[in-house]
Amino acid sequence: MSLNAREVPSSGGGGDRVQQAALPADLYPARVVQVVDLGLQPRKPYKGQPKDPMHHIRITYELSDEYMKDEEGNDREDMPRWLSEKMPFYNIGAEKATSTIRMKAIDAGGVTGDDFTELVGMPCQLVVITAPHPQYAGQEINYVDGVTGPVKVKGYEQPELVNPTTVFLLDEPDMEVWETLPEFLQKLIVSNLEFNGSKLQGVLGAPDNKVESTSLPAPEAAAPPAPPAPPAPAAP
Amino acid sequence: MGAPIPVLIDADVLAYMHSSVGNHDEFDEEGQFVRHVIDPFDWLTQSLRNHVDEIQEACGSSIEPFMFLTGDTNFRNDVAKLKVYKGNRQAEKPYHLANMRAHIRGHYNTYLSKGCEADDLLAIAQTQYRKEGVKSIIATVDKDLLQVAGHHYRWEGYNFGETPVHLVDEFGSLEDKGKKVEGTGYIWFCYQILAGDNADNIPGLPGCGPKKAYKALCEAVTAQEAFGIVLSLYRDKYLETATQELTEQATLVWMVRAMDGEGKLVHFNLQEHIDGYKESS
Repeated sequence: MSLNAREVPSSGGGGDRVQQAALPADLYPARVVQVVDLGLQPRKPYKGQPKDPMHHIRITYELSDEYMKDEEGNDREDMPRWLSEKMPFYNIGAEKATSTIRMKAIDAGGVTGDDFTELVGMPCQLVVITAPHPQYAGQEINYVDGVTGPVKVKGYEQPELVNPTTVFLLDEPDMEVWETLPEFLQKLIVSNLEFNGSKLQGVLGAPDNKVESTSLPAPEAAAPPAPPAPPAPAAP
Repeated sequence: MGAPIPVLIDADVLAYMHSSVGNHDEFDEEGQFVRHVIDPFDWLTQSLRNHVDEIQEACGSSIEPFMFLTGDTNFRNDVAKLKVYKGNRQAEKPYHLANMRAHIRGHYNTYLSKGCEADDLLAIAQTQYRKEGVKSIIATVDKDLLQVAGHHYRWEGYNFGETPVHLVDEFGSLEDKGKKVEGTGYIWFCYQILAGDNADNIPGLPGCGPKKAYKALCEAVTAQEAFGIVLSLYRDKYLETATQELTEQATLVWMVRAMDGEGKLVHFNLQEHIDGYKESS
């Protein structure tokens, strides 16, 4: 038995983290702050039929005008709220794929060449909805229901990102970025079905994954954690 | 293939309808309450999407519809002195209503009202299209909007049938259906000033129920004549405060038809109606 503190279940924030209430359902200005390559991930069966594994990505948005609260309920302006969503990564020609819809919404001008790593920093609006928390009765959690183009209201200037943008790619793993990723996300990436023999495995010096199940280890969509606290801002 | 007809959808009603089925109580075999279930939101958005497609098809339109939602502020809350506007609505709102409203705003061409209701924006849009000679269709189940001239469509609900696209003329009509009175156009507006509107907690003229209002107005043939009857009944009831009381009730039931050059709402104007109101003027 190990005593690895990272394996101890979190109490839902821990330390001095203040429980954050879900945002009311609404549209929120945001910018893409992080894009993470999740690799080939198994998928849940649909109507009893197994589904082939799919390459997945995770996009994280930094809300431009919503902040984490301190113990007294005041905005922490150095800590804007983040929301993430995970999706299968399809060819841009798949018009109904969430990944395509997101690309077309955020980059309506086509400046990224459909490269998701180029989305970081770009403005958009999130359609945020609430749902009962799947783990904590009586609490709510936010989901991204949709993404539209940026706010176009006269006089509104969307703030720049507070946090630095990050991109994590499996074929070029940046270990500085890797270290900033939360534990559950690292586990999800390591569980990808092409981890064995990958560059990331080599850098981590990790043993091979045992691919025993086609179910996701901890489906983020079914049981998302509380919105991740952004890393501390870099020193000027 | 449909025509490029703007369909103006009352999304307040649509959002409520499609979110109200998203939560329910579960009971065991003995009828004992087990738990309250909130359905996944994406089940509801699928039914909304299908419904919008059906409305488009029924209206014969090939272009994206326009959605209209009511925002946080409404002039009627300030106008209503006799009774709190919609003060009779105390039912708990469906869990997913706020989600559905956000979803509509994020996925459709949506106008969110400021200082008025979605109904007013629908009336303004339809009136503007008519002035430009464009056929537009208001899609709703709300009877209040039938006072607005132009094309209308009512989709099927739990306890009412579909009314296919039909044209409402400016003066409109009143019909005694036995248990209730139905109407359209300007005369329907006049009827509502008298009979009020229980659904919105608008009292109308005290002592003047649907039957009396219908009887007073059913033979009027011009807008000026109809409004004259309304004014006369208010004068009988209120004497010197008649115009003040009438203005309150009329402002509440009147669907705003226009904005001025500064984007401000053009509200009900008593003199304009005494002189004989013309929507297209």
